Amino acid sequence: MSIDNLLWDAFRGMLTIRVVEERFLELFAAGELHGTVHTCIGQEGCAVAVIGSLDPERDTVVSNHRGHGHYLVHSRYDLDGLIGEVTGRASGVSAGVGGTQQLHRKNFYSIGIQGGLVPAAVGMAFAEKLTGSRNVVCVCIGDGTLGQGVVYESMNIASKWSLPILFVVEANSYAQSTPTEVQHAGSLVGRATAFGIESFEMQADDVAAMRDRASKVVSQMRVDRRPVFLVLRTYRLGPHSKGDDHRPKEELDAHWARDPLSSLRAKLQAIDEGRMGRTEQVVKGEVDAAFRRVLASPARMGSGD
Amino acid sequence: MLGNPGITHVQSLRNALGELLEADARVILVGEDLVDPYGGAFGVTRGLSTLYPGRVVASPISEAAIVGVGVGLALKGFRPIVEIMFGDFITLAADQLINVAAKVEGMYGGHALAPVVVRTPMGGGRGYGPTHSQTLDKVILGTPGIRVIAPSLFHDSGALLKSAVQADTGPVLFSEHKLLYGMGISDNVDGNQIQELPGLGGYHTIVVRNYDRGVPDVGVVAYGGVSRILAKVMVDLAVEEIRVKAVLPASVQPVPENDLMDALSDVRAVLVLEEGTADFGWGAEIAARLAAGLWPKLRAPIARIGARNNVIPAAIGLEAATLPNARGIRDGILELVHCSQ
Amino acid sequence: MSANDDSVRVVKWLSEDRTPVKSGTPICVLETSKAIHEIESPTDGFLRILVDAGRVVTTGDTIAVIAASVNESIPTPAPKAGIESAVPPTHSMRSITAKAEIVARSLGVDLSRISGTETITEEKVRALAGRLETRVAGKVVRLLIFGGGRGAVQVLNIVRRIPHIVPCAILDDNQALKGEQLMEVPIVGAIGDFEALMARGSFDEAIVSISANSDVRKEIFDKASGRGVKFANIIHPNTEVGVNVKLGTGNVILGSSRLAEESTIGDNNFISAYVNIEHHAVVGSHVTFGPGVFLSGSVTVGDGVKFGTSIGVEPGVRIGAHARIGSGLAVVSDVPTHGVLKTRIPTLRSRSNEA
Repeated sequence: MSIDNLLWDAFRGMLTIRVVEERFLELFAAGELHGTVHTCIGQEGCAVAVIGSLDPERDTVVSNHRGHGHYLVHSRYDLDGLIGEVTGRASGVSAGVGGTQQLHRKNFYSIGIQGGLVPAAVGMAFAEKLTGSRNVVCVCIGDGTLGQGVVYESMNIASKWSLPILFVVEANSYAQSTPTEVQHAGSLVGRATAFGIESFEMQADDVAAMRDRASKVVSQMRVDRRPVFLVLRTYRLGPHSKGDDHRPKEELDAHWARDPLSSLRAKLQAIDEGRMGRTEQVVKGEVDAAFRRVLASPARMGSGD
Repeated sequence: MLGNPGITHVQSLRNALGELLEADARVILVGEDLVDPYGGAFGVTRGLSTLYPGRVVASPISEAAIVGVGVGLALKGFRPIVEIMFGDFITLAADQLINVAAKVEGMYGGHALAPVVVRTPMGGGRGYGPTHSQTLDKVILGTPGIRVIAPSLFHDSGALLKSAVQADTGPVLFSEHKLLYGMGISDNVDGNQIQELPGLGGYHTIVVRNYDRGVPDVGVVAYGGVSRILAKVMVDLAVEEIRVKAVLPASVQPVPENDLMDALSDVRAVLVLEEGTADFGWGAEIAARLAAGLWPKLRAPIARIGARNNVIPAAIGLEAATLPNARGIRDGILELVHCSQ
Repeated sequence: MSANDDSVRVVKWLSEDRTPVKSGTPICVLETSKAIHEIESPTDGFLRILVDAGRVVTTGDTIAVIAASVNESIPTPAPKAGIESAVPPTHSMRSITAKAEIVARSLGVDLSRISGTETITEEKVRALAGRLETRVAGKVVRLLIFGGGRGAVQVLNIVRRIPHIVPCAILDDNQALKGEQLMEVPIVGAIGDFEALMARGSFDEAIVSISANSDVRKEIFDKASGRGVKFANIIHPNTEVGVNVKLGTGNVILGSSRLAEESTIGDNNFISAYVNIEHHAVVGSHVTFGPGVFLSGSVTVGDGVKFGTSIGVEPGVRIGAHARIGSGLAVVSDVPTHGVLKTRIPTLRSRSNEA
C-alpha cells in the first residue's frame, strides 16, 4: 500500500476513534451514560499503527481499561458492538456484562485490572508456540502498569520460554494522576532488556513510522518467536476517566497543539482538501448513525431479559 | 467410583495425570519443580515429565503467572493443569483466580471459557508452620464462576481430577490434602459403611456410617483431609453406641444441597467440620443452609468445628491443639448428642 | 462441691490434652445434681486428660493429671468392669457406653437399678426407662367435673392428654342431662350431689368447668372446698408453667397459654387459650379469662375479675376485684374495684348511608 493510502486509512481510523471517544464523554457529561470510561484521546495513532500491523483473524490482542481504540482497530471498526457494550445493550460485544473495560470478541480480550491479563497473554503465546502456528500475541499496557509485579513474572517467562508476544507500552506520561517519573525507577526499556527481551522506544506522533516499526517487529516474531518490548512515547489528551484532570492548562495546551490527529489532518488536507472533507463527513456520519442505532435499542435490565 | 482401596491418594492422582496426558493432547502441566527426578514437592508428578516430554513444564516461582498462563492456555483450547506448590500460596495468585479465571465466562458475556484446573495441597499436621499448613479454600469460596473440589479420605482423588479436567468447562481449584497423599483411599474403614450420592457435575458426595441399623444420633458434614480424623473418631464412637452419619461432599463450592438434605433427612443434630478456621468459613455457609432446610427436625443448634482463630503454630503439640483433632471432634459429637436428646 | 453426690458428669474440658496450664486456671467443667462447677488446675504443668467429656464419674475418681512434662507416661485408669473387684459393682464401676450415659441422664434413669455386670448399653437404659414410665401411670386421679356444658368439653379435652387423670363423673343442675353422657363420661346428678359422691369415695379431686359466670364458679368452689373437696388444677400439657410459679387449686387453664416465672395464681380461675400471665403478676381467685388476654409483668388482678377476649394489660397495672374488662382493650392504668371498661363498638354503616 502506498504511503498516501496508508496515511488516509490511518487518519480515517484515528478520526473514527476520536469521534467515538468524544461522543462518549459528551453522553457522560449529559448524564446519559452510567459507569466510567477511559478514553484514548491523543493515543489513537498507537492503536491504528500497532494493531493495524496485525492480522486480526490469527493474531491475539490483549488490551486494558483504555482499550476502545485497540478494540475498534482489531474488530475492523465494530462500532455497534463497542457502543452497545459501553451503553449496556444486549448487542454489546460482552453482552453488557463486561462493560468498557472487559471487551471480548474472537481474539480480543481486555480487562480493567492493571496487568490482569498479561500472564494470560503469555499463556496464549505459549499456546501458539505449542501448536506450531506463526500467530503472535500483542499485549498493550500503559507505563503505569509497569508498577505491577505480575508484568515482570510474565516478561521473564515470555523470554525464558521464547514466546511470540509483543509487549506494547503506551507511555502517555501519566498513571491516572501520577506522572511517570514519580512512579518508575530506572528506564522503561531497561526493564525488558534485563530479561533479554529486544526493546524499542519511539515517539508516537508519526503514525507511519510506528506502523513501519510494528510491521517489521511482527514479521520477525512470526519467524523467531522471540518476545519484543515496544515503548511508544505518547500523551493522554483527555482525562484519566471523566473530569478527573488536574494537569496544568499550559501543559495540556502545549500537547493539544501537537495532537497527532490534527497534525495528520493538516498534512492530508494540504494534499487533498476535498477528500479530507468527504472523509470527515463519512466518519461522522457513520459514528452518528451507530450511536443512534444503538441508543434506540433498549438497555439491558435485570432478571428475565 | 468409590475408589480402589489399596492405592494411595498420590498414586491415584499420578495415575490420573498420566491417563490424561496419554489420552488428550490438549492436557499440559505447569508448575514449580514438577519435572523429574524431583517430580513435584509431594511427588505427584513423578515420572510424568519423562514419559511425556514437553507436556510437563517447570515454571519459575511465579504463582500469579502460573495461574495466568494456565488461563491463557485454556482460552486457546488447551486443558492446562497447573500446580501451586502449597495451598498457602494461592494468595499470590488471588487476582488471577478471582478477577481473571473466575470471571472469564461471565464478564465476556458467555463467549469465552477458561477451563484451567489449579491443583494445590492444603492442610496441616506435619508441623510445617503458619505459612505452609493452612486450609485457604475460604479465599476463593464465595467467588462466583470457579469451582472448589476437594477429595476426602474416601474419594478417589484421581477420578475427581479426571472429572475436573475432562468434563468441566470452567476453572477449578482442586484442593488436595498433604496428609491424604500417603494414605490409602478409604483407609481406616474398619466397619464404617460407605455409600455414594450423585453430587454435582460428576463430583460425588460420599456418605459414611459407623452403624448398620437405626437412626443416626448425629450427622457430620465435612470435606477434605479432616475426614481422615473423623473416620477414626467414628470407629471409636461405634463402640460407644454413638451412631454417626458423615456426609462428605467433593464439591465444596457449589454446595450439593440436594445430597446434604437427602442424607441428613433422618438426623436430629448436625455438626459441620472443616480444617479451615471456623470463623466466616465453609461451615458457616453449610450451617446456614442446613438450618433453613432441616429446621423442624433439629433438636439442637447446628455445631461447627474448625481450626482455632490464630496462626497455626509450628511446634507439633501446639499445632495439634490449633487444628481440629480427634479429641475435639469426639467431644463435639458427644456434646451434641447430649444436647439433642 | 456438694458432698452428697456419688456421681458427677464431666461436661467439657477447657484446655486441650497435653497443653500447658497454670495453677488456678479453670481446666474443666463438672455437673453435679445441683449445679455446674468450674474446676481449676491445682498446679502448673501439662494437662493430661483421663476421662472424656460427657462421661459420668464417681466422686473420688481421677479425671486428669497435671504432669510435669508433656510426654510423661501416665498410667491409664483401671478398667471399669466390676468382676474382679472386691467391692460390689455400682453403676460407676461398670463400663457403660457414652450413648447409654447420655440417654440415662436425659431420661432421668438411675443407673444403679440396672442389674448385671456387663457393659450398660442404650437399649438397657431405655428398657428401664420404659418400665418406670409405666409404673408412674399406675397412680390415677379420678376427677369429678362440676358443670356439663361447653366448659366440661374443654376440661375433658385437656384431661384426655393426661394419662393419670381419669374423669369419672359430671354434675349439672340441668335435670334433663341426668343419665346422659358427655364424651363417654356419665352425668350423674345436680351440683349439690357432690356430698353424696364424696361420702361414697367415688372421686379423688374435682374441678369447676363453668367458664362464663365467675360468681357461680366461686359459689360452687367455696361450698365444695368448705366441705373438704380437694380440687385439681387442669392444665393443658402444652401450656408453659415457668419456674417458681405459685398455683392454687381448681384452676382450668386451656392450651397455648403461659404462666411466666414467679407469677402467682389463686384458686378456681378459668383461663382460656393464648393467655399470657407475665412474670411477677398476681392473679387472685375466681377470675375468668377469654382467649388472648396478655397480662404484662407485675400486674395484679383481684378476685372475681372478668376479662373478655383480646386484651392487653400494661406492666404494673392493678385491676381491682370484680372489675370487668371489655374485649379488645389496652388497659394502661389501674382499674378500681367493680370498675367496668367498655369495649368501643365501631358503628356499622348500612348501604343507604353510603349512597
